[in-house]
Amino acid sequence: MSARSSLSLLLVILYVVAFAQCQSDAPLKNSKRTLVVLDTFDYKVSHSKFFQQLTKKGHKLTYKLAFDQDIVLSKYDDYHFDNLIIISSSKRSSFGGELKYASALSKFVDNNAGNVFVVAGSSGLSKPLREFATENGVGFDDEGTSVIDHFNYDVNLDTSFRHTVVACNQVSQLPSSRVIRDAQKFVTKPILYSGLAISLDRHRNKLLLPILTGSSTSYSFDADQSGTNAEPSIRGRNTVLVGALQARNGARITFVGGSEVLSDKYFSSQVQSTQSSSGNEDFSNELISWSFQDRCVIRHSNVSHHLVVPSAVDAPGYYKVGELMDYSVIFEEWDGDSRKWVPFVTDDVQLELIMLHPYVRTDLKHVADGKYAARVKVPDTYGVFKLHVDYRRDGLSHLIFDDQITIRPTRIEEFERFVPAASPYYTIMFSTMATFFVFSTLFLYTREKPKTD
Amino acid sequence: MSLFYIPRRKQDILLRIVILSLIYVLAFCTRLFSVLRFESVIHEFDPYFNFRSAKYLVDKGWYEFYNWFDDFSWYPLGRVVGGTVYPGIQITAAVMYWALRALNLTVDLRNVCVLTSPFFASNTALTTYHFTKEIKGPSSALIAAAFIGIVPGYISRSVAGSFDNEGVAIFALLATFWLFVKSVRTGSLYWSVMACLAYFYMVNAWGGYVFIINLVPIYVLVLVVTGRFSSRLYVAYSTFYILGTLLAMQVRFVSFLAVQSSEHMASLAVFVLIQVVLFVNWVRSLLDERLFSRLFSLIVSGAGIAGVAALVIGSATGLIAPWTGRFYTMLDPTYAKKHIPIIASVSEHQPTTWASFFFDLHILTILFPVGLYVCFRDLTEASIFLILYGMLSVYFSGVMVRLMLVLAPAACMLSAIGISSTLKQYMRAIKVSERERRRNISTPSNKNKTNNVTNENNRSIPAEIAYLMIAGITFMFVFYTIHCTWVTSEAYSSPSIVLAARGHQGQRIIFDDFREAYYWLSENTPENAKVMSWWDYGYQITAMANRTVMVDNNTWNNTHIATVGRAMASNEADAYKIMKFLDVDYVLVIFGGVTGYASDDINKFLWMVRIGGSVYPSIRESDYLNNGNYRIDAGGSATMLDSLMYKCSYYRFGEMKTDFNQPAGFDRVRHVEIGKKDFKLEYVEEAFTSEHFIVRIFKVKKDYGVHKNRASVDLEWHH
Repeated sequence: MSARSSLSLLLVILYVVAFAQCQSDAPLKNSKRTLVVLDTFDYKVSHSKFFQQLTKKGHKLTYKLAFDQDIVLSKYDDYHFDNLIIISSSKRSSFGGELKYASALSKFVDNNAGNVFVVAGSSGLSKPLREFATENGVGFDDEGTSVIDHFNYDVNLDTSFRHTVVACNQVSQLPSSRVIRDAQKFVTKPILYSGLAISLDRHRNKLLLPILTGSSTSYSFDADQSGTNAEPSIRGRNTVLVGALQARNGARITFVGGSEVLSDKYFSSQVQSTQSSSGNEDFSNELISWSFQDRCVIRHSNVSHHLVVPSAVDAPGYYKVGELMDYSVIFEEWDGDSRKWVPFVTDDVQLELIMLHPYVRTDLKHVADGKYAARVKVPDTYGVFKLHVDYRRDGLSHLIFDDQITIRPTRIEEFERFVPAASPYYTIMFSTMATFFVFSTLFLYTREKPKTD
Repeated sequence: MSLFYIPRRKQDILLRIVILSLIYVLAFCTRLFSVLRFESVIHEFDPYFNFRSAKYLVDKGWYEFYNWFDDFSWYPLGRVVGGTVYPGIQITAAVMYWALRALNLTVDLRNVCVLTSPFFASNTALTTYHFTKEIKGPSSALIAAAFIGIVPGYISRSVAGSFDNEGVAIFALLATFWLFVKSVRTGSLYWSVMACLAYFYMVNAWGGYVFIINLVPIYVLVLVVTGRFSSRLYVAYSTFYILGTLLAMQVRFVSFLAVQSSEHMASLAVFVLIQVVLFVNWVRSLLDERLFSRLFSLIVSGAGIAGVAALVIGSATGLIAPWTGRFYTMLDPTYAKKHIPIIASVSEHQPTTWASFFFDLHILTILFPVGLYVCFRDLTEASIFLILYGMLSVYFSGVMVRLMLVLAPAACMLSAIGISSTLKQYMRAIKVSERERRRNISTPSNKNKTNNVTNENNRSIPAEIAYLMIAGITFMFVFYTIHCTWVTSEAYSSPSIVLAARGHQGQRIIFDDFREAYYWLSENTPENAKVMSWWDYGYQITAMANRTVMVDNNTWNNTHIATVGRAMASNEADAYKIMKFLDVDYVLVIFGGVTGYASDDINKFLWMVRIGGSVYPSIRESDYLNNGNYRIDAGGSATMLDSLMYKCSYYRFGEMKTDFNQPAGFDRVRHVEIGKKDFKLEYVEEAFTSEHFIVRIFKVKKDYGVHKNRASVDLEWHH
């Protein structure tokens, strides 16, 4: 075997290995180096079950105190962590180490596409986190306030009798069905919550989504000021308890208004109204699997388009105006439990053919195994078109991709040779030719009679 | 008798052949300055498209070229090149290339293209010789050929490297005129058909064929009106119109325009007219005078009404294509300035200045009327043609500087006729006096007899004056030659793709920034990257960098150009939306502030604003001016200093010292210190800047700004 062929063989093997790696590989940010930043290590005890859940899901947890001066997130733009969990209610204006800079969290999301899990501590939310939240259109209510619901509260835990431990047991309180699956089960196992209320500015930032909201009777208020005329700023369904942001680069930022909802105490608490254990453990489990991209991460592959006739596999260099095109694409979703990409099935994917404006917009139908296909008649307009798929849904990672095709006009030799509608012109043409021939013959072979006079 | 004895008449022919050969060679050689000074490159803008398409034709063959849909230009609309191009020049180059290949001369296509124009200039000289000979005989013809060989007005468009339509079109134009005039003189169907073929080549080569199809009918009309209608004229024009129009329709770009557009209506009208004239003449030969005149007035009024009705109906139904802007510009020089910024923005569409008449024609400006006088003096069918051609082309060249090219041959021929007849006059005077002197010595007795014959010429012009005049004319010729050579070498031989300047010590500095940048684009950007630049550079980018452009020099879609103009004139955030809308990956600007290169984008910027504003009223020219002044210094308007064009041109220019006695950020074109120095780019980032800053390329960021990942900024462009 020559050196050259063995080299190419090696390349092929490398390629296959790399390819296999790609296929089995997790989504880019699914390695689970997770930094946990806490005010005090007491949280490790009080939230041991929450951290156990994380460990069970494969997270390698590194604990740091919030004011630890040697928090190092990155070196030379290379990040040491993929996920960041911060539980803090400190009154100090900045964290320690690299987190000292206000932009550190933003950069972590923007440059690293890392997931951030922000939890307000037992006595409110610390100032840097509040700033970070505001930057993303997420507003935590003022310190001292808490979510109050006089109709749905937990008797066991509400020791202050201010109805600040609310019990969430309505399906409508879990609006993001993709993030928290099977909301029905929390009807019998309510989620117990106490802490700050969050308001999401969804008009300004469409990337935000509520995960757990208060019931229509809930509101946010400082219970100590109950004598004043002040009105609660966040009320009813707008009271968000847990909210999230799905960033364009795939990162997810989760905001939890109070750390108790994830605590061992709430996990194991019995709810009097339903005579059952609380649903907090299940809720937490669902929440972290979504927040750290074990679920609801989709990708596309195998985009292909080709002519219907003649049936081909490869994309032609050009499509002719009005030709039929077959388009197909495979959608897959990451399944964190089996650590595999599985087919993603839905019925609301659309394909657009865009040249400055959409000329065609059509449904992509699911065929099998996550493969979506459509048969499209390409527009009657020539130009460079984008085959554009824009699939953005609450709770799912965004999928926007383009393919470029050129639609050319009909070639001069592709027009019909004989057009029936033009038969009058054909007739005229041939009759003129015939007449000319007859005339010429007569002209040439007829002798003019000499004039008599 | 000597072996080398040649009879007198043959001597004459031999001399003519030698002179013509020399002119042929000279016309070619004088156009090679640019190759010697720089290198064998294609010049300027349009030639790059012609070169690219010629290459396409050579590589892929005729059918592919004919059906070519170019998705590299006018993204995302594309351009049907086969249907929007005059393919003459490409075909000419390809045929020459194939011919050379067939002879086993392996020449590069680029060199064929570079030398196409000089080669055709030589052919033009020959054609001019024949044309002038047709009008006034061989002596004028030789002078005309010599004139046109070096006239700057023509050289400006036909130096080596200027691979443009006009290069071959002037040859075709003169050939058509020559053959048509010949066919009118002979009444021969053969020459008329030849004229049609030349016309067909002209239609293939250049949109200026419209000049022919209007000049010829005017000529025919003038002949008819002046009572010079003849069956020769009838044969010549009828054949020319029918066959010429049919042939013109074969060119895809023209097709039905040849019978529908208003620019072609004159030829149709005259065609109908001569049929009528012939018919009337025939009727007149049958009827008596009184009956005829009654019938005649009836026919004329009827035909007039029918003609007007047809024109009105045709225009109203749109069957006759609306008058295009370029045509209005012809009739009213100020039309374009008022209504169509895209026409007014092109420098070659500006009205001609007197200086440029002298610069391009030199002594021909003065000799032109002399030629006209001579033509009027000896009025023939042929000289009437030349008079009309001369007058019309003078008018049109006054309207548009570009049409100086059409005037140049007419000026050469008329001047040649004028100067030739002048020379003849004085030469004859010299000859006569010489002969007389000799005769006086030999046979003094015959004096009285000869006096009667020669008196007339002899008396008016003494030999001394004749000598003086001839010397004067010789001087004029010499100065003409010097001027032409100087103009060619100094003004018309710059490729404009490579710039030259003089350094402080007088050494030559070459700015090769354009090619540097285009090469960078082709090597460092993805193959389907889309580059946004002002349309001037579109052809060069597609040809040299092989990248997709939004707009190019084929300015067929005003709205698209206006969109690009708007993007350049908007602030970064708004421009970003437009650029996303157009899928722009790179922005390319030309900047002369470092080198003093004056035709850069900042100087063209007001045109971008105007053209953008002509479609999008939100762009207002007044926003970019400060009290009516266009400024980029501290007094510039805020909109101006915030525009994408300003930011791309002057990004980090404020840190740069361009001159000793000036502060940093001193613009050497505008001679001011720029108004806004320290700014950051948010939506684009610098990707490349050429050695002398002439070309700057910016990459459009895929995502935008600070909140690119975490906030939903409205990115739709609402226009």
